[in-house]
Amino acid sequence: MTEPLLAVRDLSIRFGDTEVVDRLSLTIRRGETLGLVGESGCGKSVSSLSLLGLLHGARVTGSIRLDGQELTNLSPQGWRRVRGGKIAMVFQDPMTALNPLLTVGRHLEEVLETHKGLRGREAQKFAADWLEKVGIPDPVRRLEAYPHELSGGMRQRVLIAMALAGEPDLLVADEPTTALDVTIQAQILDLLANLRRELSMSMLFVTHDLGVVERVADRLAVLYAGRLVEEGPVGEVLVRPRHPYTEGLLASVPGFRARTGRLRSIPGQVPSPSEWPSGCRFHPRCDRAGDICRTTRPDLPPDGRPACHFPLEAGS
Amino acid sequence: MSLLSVHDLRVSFPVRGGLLGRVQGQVRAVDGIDLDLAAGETLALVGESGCGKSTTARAILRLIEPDSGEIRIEGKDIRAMDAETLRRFRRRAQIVFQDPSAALNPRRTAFQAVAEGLRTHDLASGPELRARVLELFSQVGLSEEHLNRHPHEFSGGQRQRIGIARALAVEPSLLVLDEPVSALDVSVQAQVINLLEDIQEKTSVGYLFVAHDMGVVRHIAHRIAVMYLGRIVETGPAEEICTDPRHPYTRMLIASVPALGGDRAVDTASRGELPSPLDPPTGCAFHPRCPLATSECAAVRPELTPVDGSRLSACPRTAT
Repeated sequence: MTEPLLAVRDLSIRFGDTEVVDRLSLTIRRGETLGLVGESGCGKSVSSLSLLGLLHGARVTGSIRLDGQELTNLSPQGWRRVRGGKIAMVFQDPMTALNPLLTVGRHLEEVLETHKGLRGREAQKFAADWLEKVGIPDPVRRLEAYPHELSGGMRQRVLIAMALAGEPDLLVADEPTTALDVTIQAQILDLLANLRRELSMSMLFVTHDLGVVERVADRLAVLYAGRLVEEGPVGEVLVRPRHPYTEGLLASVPGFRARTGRLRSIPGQVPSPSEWPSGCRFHPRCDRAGDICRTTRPDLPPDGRPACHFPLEAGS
Repeated sequence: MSLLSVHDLRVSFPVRGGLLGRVQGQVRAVDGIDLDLAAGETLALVGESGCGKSTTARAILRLIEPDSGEIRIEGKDIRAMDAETLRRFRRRAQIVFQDPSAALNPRRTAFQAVAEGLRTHDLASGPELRARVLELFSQVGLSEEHLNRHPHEFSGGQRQRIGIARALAVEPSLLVLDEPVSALDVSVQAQVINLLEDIQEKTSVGYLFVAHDMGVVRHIAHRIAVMYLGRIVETGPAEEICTDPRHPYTRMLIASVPALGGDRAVDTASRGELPSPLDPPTGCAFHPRCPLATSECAAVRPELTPVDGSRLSACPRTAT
C-alpha cells in the first residue's frame, strides 16, 4: 500500500497548561476527502490550523507528515513553501480572510507569484482563469473588484480560487459554507467536489454539520473534547455509529432522516478544555458509562471500532 | 378565532446614501404578506438571509412599525393601540431572540431578568415573585443555584433557557421565536427544541418560529411559510412542504439542504444568487434563478393560489 498523502500521528496541542487536542492520529489518502466533525470547542479548528503551521502561542507535539515530509520541525521559510503550494486552506468567514484594500486580482496574483513564479500579464491571465474555474461570471472585470463589492458566496469562491491557485495536494476547508445561505452552500459544496476531482486533490473538510459531511466526504472522523472517538467510511459511521457520542449526535439532528418524534438529546453540555473529565471524556453525558469509563481512557483501535469501552454493536 | 392573523403586512426601510445621507430609495423588506396562526400551533417562517422573515416577526409585535396592513392578536387590532395599551398588551405576545448573550443585560442576574416582566405587569411580588421565578426556572430546566448568576456564568444553551423563561413569565399566548436555536451546538439544540415542544403541549402557546434550518423546521413546525424577497411564495403543512415542495424556490431550497436533499434532479439544482432587494426583479422575484421561467414570469407577479388541499403556491407553472 502506498503511503497516505497526510499522516498525522499523536498530535497534541497545548495553550499554556490547557491541552486542547490530545494525541490525534489521522490519515488522508490521495484523492480522498476526510470529514472532521464535532461541536464547538472539540478541537477541530485548532487541529486543522496546526496542519498549516498557523497556530501561534501553542505547543504542538507529535508528527505531521505530508507527502513524506515532516512538517512539525519546518523553519518559517520551509512553511512558506509548503503553505499555499502543497497544502492550502479555505476559512469560514471570507470577509475577514480577504484584505479589504486589495482587489480580487491582487489577491490571486500574490499567490501566483509566490507559488508559480508568474508576474504581470501572465499572472493576470491565470488569475482570471481561476475566477472562471470557480464560477465567477465576467472574470476579467471582476479582477478589479474589491471584496466588499462581492456577495458572501462570491467572496468564498475567490477564497477557493486563491487556495487552489498554488495547486496544492491537500485543501483544508474549515467550515467553508457555514456562513452562507443554504442554496449558496449547495453551490459551493458542488464546486469543491468538482474541483477536487478535476485537480485530483485531497481534502480535509472541517464542519459541525453532519448533513454537509454526508454530501462531501468519503471518510469521517468524529472529535469530542479534543480526542478522536470514531472514524470510518461516511456511509458506515452515519448509518451505524458505534460510539455513543456519534450516535447521540446523529439522534440530535432534527429532520436528518425523516420527521421523528421527540428528539433524543445528549444530556449536559460540551465541557471546556480546562475541565475535561477523567477517563473517557464523554462519560458524564453517556448512558452506557460504567466504572472503567471514569478512570481509563479508551483507545481508538485501528480496526474501525470506536474509542469506547462499551461500543454499540456493529449493525445494531 | 385565530391567535394571530396578519393581512397584507408591508414594511419598508429608507435607503440612505451619498455624503449627506439623503434618502435615496426604499427597500420593501416585507411586501404584502398574510399569516394565520392558531393556539397550540407552530408556524415556521423560513427563507434565506434578507428574505424579510425577521422583519416580519418584529413588525408583528410592533418592534418595527409596519407601513400598512392589519395585525390581530387574539382578535385585537394591535396597530390601533396607543402606547400604553400596547405596553399592557405585550404580556400576551413575547419574543425570544437568536443570540441570548446579546438579549440579556450582562449586569443583571438571571433572577432579575426573569422577574422583570412579572413586576412590570404586576403579576407577582415579594415571596410570591421568587416562588414564581423558581417555578419558571424548573420549567426550563434550570435550578435554584442559577438564580443569582449573571449571563456570562451560563453556557449558550442555558442563556437561551433564561430567554425562554423570561418570555414565558408573563404567560403569553403567542411566542415569536427568532432563530432561537441557530447559535447552539447540535446536542444542546435538541434539548431546547424538546423544551419548546413540552411547553407548547402544556400551555397551548402558539409559536411563530423564524428559522433558516429546514431540518429544525421540519421537526418542530406544523405549517411552513416560505419567504423570498419579502413575499410568501409557498405555504402549507410542514411535512408536505419538506417532502413534496411545489414552488420552484422551495424545491431549490429543500434540494440544497444536505440532509434532506438526497439525489437532486437537474431542475432543482441551486443556481444564481439572491438579487439586491434595492432593485428587485420585475414580475416574479425568483424568475432570474428559476429553471421554469418564461417571459411571462418577468412581466406578471404571481399571487398565492391553492395547489391542493391546504397548500398555496405563488407559481402558476407548478400548480399541479
